[in-house]
Amino acid sequence: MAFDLSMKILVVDDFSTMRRIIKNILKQIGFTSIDEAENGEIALSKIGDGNYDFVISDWNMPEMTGIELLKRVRANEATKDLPFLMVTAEAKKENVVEAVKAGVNNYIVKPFTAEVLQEKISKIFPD
Amino acid sequence: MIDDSMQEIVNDFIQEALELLESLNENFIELEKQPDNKEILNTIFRAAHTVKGSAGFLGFQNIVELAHSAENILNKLRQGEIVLTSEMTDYLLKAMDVLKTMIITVSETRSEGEPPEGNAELIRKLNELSEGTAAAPTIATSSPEPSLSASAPSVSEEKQSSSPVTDKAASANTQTSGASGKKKARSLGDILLEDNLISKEELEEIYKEKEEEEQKEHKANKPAGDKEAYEVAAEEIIHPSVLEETTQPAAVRNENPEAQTPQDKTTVLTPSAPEPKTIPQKPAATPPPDIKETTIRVDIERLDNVMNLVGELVLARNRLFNISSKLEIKYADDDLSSALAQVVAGLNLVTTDLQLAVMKTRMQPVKKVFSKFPRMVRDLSRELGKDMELLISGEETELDKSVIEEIGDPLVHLIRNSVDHGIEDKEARKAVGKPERGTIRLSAEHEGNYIIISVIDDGKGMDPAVIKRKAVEKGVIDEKSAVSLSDKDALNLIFAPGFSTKDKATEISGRGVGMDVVKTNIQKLNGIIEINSNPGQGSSIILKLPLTVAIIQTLIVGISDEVFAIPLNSVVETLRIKESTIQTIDKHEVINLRKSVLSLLRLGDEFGVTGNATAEVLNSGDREIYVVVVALAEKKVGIVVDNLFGQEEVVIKSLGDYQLGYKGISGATITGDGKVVLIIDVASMIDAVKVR
Repeated sequence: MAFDLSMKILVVDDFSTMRRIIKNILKQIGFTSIDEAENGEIALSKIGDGNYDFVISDWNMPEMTGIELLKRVRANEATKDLPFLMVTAEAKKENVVEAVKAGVNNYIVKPFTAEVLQEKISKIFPD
Repeated sequence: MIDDSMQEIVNDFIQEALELLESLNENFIELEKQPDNKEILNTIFRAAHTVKGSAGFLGFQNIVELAHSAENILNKLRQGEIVLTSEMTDYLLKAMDVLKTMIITVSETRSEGEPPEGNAELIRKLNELSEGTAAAPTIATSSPEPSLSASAPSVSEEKQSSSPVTDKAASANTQTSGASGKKKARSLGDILLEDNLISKEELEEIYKEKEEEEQKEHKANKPAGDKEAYEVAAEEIIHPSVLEETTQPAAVRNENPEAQTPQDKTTVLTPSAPEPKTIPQKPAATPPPDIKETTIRVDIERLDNVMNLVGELVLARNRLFNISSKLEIKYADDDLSSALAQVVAGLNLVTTDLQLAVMKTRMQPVKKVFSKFPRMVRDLSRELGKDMELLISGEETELDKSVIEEIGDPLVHLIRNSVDHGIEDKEARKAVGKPERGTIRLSAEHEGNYIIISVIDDGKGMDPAVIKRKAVEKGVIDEKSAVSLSDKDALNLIFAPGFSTKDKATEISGRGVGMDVVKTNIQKLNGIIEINSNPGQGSSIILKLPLTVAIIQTLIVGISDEVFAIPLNSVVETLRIKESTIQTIDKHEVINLRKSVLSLLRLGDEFGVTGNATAEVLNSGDREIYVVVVALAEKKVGIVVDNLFGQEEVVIKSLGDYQLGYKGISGATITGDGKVVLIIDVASMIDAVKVR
């Protein structure tokens, strides 16, 4: 496996059910260190200058969208390379273009299975 | 795969999704007032989106399908492709209702089951309403040509060397150049390229656009560094030309570079361009404020348990207080007893504060109940062809959770009454010189240990004479007593069982439950209901509710050696009568109270308490007894007791399983002197008399 199962992951979603679902799937894959944040501001304060190895965030959130969160993460020199997976409901061309521009590492369309998530994560972390 | 953790997630979903949908009603009402408010549209869209997303994970296909149809319309609305109509609002609201129903089905049956009747029709209608442009094709299906994945790294590296100043862009684009020795994560661009989902040219084009946008952004916002710059940028990122362009095959697009202005391009590619100097001042480089989560969800059972324990503590405190004051009197000059008194006084303060604090944890804003009414009034007035608005105030006022749960139905009834019977139709209002639009005010406010909730309308009001006449017709009262009834008492007749001012019950307010049920429910909460009306000007109904149901004011009474507590809010008056004035009708004891007959109930007989006092003076006829007149709705009963001890605030304790076998008892409490006192259930006392 190309990625480290012990890496510290932050799951960002405003809907707690979603956070639990994603955490559950991550646990199924075998990840052990998973934390969560319910909005962009909390996520930013938790991430700080690099408290996590990987962020999985919902795109569509109130106050601060996933893209805005990503931009702020990228704007910080300490976290500008932090791997970031965007969870989205649709993969329309314009969404993907926007994601590429913002510097997303990969995106995943919900609903997804553990297999798909694992594949998406392995793409980000090459062998 | 419904294991325990799945089950928990499903429970979470049910609760969270229902709360979310519930909160939408007021958003819809607000949206009707300002149909182009993007923020509200976004909120509603996001809710449908969120429900759809998590339902998808949990495999609830019907929910996904309906939420998806609703989401489609909402998406088009928020992007300005279609304009909101009342019909759309109707169907969207209906969709939210059906979603709620489906989620409730899940919570009850643990599976989604069949979609509710009319679901397919609803989805068809929603799709019809949103019809028009089809969704843009997804990137997976629209890659027109296989592209060179091998050259992927060169794309970004090239970029970096051609414009070294745009380090921010580079950080996003070039993830392949590892500086730290640790393997770098790949970027989405690289992954898409590798999977042949995008061509190298397309990707370059995207990166180029991104840089241009950033240049523009920095030009437009010289003092870059605030959050606003980002919000602007986020909006600018997709402009229509980009969308059109990127969906075209790359080869065609490269020949048509009309979207970009030449100067912009050169600034990107020229390393000595002056503008990019501003780039290193990174926006939002300041550390974000340290925001902690400020709320947690707690199982209501745990709170109930804490509340219960505090109740015990209060009772123990009362006893301790009692004993300590006795000790202080008995051993007045003993230091120990005064020290004890001091400690107890301290404990007393802390316990009272603790009790308040715990009560507060169970408080919820009445908004929880109020929020469903704007929707209800909207639907009803559309149905009736009336024009009215509901003005809500004080929705942040807090009440105990259990009270909140109980006031919903009574309020629904009261507001329905105002909409249906109170507010006149437009013509009638115009004819009497009122504004065409009627107003119903729903408000909540604190008053000491009570919450006052009022429903006030500016409709036609209630005429005491009409009410009296109806009451006589329906046999609620006889003609003689009708004449002597004051206007205020006449209004109170609407709370009598079997009374309804409309000859024909309408769909809206005549649903079999009358105002008597409303009053009974409010009284069960130890609340008081009051009615006022000015014919022609409107009516007002005032509910006075205790902040909590756990502590009530009671009247402490005695029957021989036993002590009982009667909830004070049901007590109308107390009388002291000679036993000889009791008459018997049909073997039942009654007295004549101000020319009306009042049934009596001997508490001693009800509970099998026969004291020595009764035996001694039996048949003497001269013994003086007390009658506590209690009332629930308009039904009155006189409870015969031996002694009245006074008023006391008590903490209600449930009797648990013991209670089941005994009618007439609603709970128990322990008084300051350590006595266990049973609390009388007035409703069942009155039922007992009715059964006769």
